[in-house]
Amino acid sequence: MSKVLVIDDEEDARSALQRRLQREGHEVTTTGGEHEALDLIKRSDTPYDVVLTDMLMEHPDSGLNILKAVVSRDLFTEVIVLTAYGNVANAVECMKHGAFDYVEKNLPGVDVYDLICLKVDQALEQRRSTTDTIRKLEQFRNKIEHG
Amino acid sequence: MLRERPGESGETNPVLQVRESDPVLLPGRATTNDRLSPSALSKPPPQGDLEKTVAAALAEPIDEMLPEHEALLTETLVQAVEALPANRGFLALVDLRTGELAVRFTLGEGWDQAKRTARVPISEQVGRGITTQVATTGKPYRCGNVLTDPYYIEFFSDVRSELAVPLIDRSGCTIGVLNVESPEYESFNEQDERHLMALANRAALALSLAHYQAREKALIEIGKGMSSETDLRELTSKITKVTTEILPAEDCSIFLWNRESGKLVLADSYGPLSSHIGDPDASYDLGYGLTGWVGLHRQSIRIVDPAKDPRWKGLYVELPPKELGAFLAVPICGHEELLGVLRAVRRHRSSQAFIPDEFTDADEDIMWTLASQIAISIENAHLMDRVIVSERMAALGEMSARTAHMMGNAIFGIKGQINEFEFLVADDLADKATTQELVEKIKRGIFRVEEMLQEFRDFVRSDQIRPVRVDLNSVVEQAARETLPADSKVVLSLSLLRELPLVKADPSKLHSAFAELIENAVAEQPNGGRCHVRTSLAEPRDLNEVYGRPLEKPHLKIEFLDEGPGVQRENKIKIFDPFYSTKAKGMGLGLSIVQGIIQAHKGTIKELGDEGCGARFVILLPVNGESAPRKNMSISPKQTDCPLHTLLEGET
Repeated sequence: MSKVLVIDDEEDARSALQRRLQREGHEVTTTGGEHEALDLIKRSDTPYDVVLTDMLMEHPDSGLNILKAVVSRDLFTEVIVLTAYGNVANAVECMKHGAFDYVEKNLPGVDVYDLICLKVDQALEQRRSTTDTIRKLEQFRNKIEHG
Repeated sequence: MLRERPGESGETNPVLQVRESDPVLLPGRATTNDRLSPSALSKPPPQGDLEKTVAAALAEPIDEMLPEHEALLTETLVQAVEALPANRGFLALVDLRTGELAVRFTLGEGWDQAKRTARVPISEQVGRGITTQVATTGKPYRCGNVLTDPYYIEFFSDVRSELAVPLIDRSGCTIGVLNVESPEYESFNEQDERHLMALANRAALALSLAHYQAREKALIEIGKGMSSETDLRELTSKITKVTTEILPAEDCSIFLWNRESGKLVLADSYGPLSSHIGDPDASYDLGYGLTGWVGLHRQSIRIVDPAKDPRWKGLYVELPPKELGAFLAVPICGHEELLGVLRAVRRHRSSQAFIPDEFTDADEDIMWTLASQIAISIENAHLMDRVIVSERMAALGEMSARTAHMMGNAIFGIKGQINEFEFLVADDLADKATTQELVEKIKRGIFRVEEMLQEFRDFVRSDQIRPVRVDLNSVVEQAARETLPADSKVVLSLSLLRELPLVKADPSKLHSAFAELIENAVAEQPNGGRCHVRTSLAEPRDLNEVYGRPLEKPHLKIEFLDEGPGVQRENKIKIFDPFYSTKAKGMGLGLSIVQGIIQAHKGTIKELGDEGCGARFVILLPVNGESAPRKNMSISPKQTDCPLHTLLEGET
């Protein structure tokens, strides 16, 4: 079971995402604020596999702060940034800093929740393949060093 | 020295054609008696040997001379009589308005009230009397035996010799006459004449100084108006008034350029034209008439006999054409475009060249200065408008983006709930309680979006008011009644000053502003407390406190006090920023909407409470001119101290 952290200051969005992602088989934690989120990221026993965060909460760069905290906890945790109208620029900035992708919350005619589930799956896939690659590299190195 | 104008040289010719000398009126004569100003006669009698009279009827700037100038003129006369073998003397000054020569300072024996306040209408008595002759010619006149002098008219029976010299100003006009006389024959020689001329020149200089000082004072007055007067109309009326007085002129008017109509429209006037203000026809096409010419060419016109000028059309004339003596107009030029024309006309005052009608270089300088001041004011006003508009556009842009974002977020949440709902319904998994809960959440979400839309609309419209005459007390009362929830733990009390002046305001906008402030007070005190609303007349210290500078206009004060935590010092201004919120609800536009509404009423709102001692919002609304106080109502500030009646108490 993968660990997903959902960060959004909109209570409805949190609860809807939680139920949906739980149905998809993920272990979901939610929080509404940047500080609580940073705390959770730092203290969790094992790192989250995927973090879904709103771009703008108390501060315009809340998303970016969370991204940095996540990466410093586990380089391979994937971050998906959610943006409402007008924040694509910030989302792109997050991508530059290593976010997996961003999802616009208000795409007309698109079931964004489906899209998010898809992105979460993709992100998990990416994380798996990256960690696999790392593992293989380590095995290879061990082989060279010890064998 | 004398300025001669065409057609008048004959009349002003200093040829000895008239007799007798004293310019002072003889009270016994009907013709001269008519010219005696009643107010001049009513002046209190002078005291002491050195007698000084100020004819109150004189309204020209020389009346406003400073005490030191008066002293200098008095001293001049004393010196003249003492230094020369004279027993009597006087100083008469030209009244530029009436064209009369008026006795102002007298010395020696025999002066009675009538003689001291005598005025002679030089314009109608060409060269009659020595003093008049001197004034008319601008040349000194010395007479060794008045009894044989063709000019002399007996005024004092003991006079045998007389010496009179003119006071000439810098532009060469006679502004007065200094006159000494003696009971001896051949009392004055050439040297005396030179001596007296020197004294007269000094006196003329003092008068010129007094005149310039009056102008300077007027300009400073206007300069002060510039900084404190935000209302262009009040500034233009001040300028036309001052200009009329200091030039002096019969009328001073301002025509402002109206871009829409492409005409110069009469905006203000102090004088006969004032009755045409607001008349849409009181305008000039660019290039039409003297005023239009000035506007088109952006050059000044300074002429005498304007009615004879080919450009003259006589569209809006201050005086009958025959009485028009001189015309002076300067363009009011902005940075890039013409803003208007400032003009003045002078009545044809005299057929005498010694009081020319024409405006001087100094007059024109003043007009240019005033025109540039008006231009600055107009441009400032335009600039202010533009700044306000662009600030507002920027705020609206920011607002729209923020609102879209917030609503997008909210809708995203609603969509999520709908997804859940859909899922539960599709698979028939839903139990009633769960679906009910989801439906509730969806409804709440939609309400929130609607609230945001409402807030956004309120913000956008906060500056659009429909003012009517309202009683603020009733607005406060109603807002209080409707806002306080029945189960609130907050006690709401009102102190309303009876008979508050009516103001022109939008009652529904003010209602929502007051309601927001009461709501905030209630929200800040979830465990109960007090909210007090007070109306009063603002006192000077209130204005100082809120505006940071004294204001003269009367204002109403509405205060909202509570016992909540108050506002931190660093947030006292921020709380009015859009999107500033300490509450989870809404978008944080509440106080910025309140501020928008108050500002639209030309008022101010500030939070002036001490942190930790509850909030204190103070609103000041100007009592605008159109709102006449109600009957029997006193707006004396004393009343603010007597409180009033408590109208309403919330449940505790």
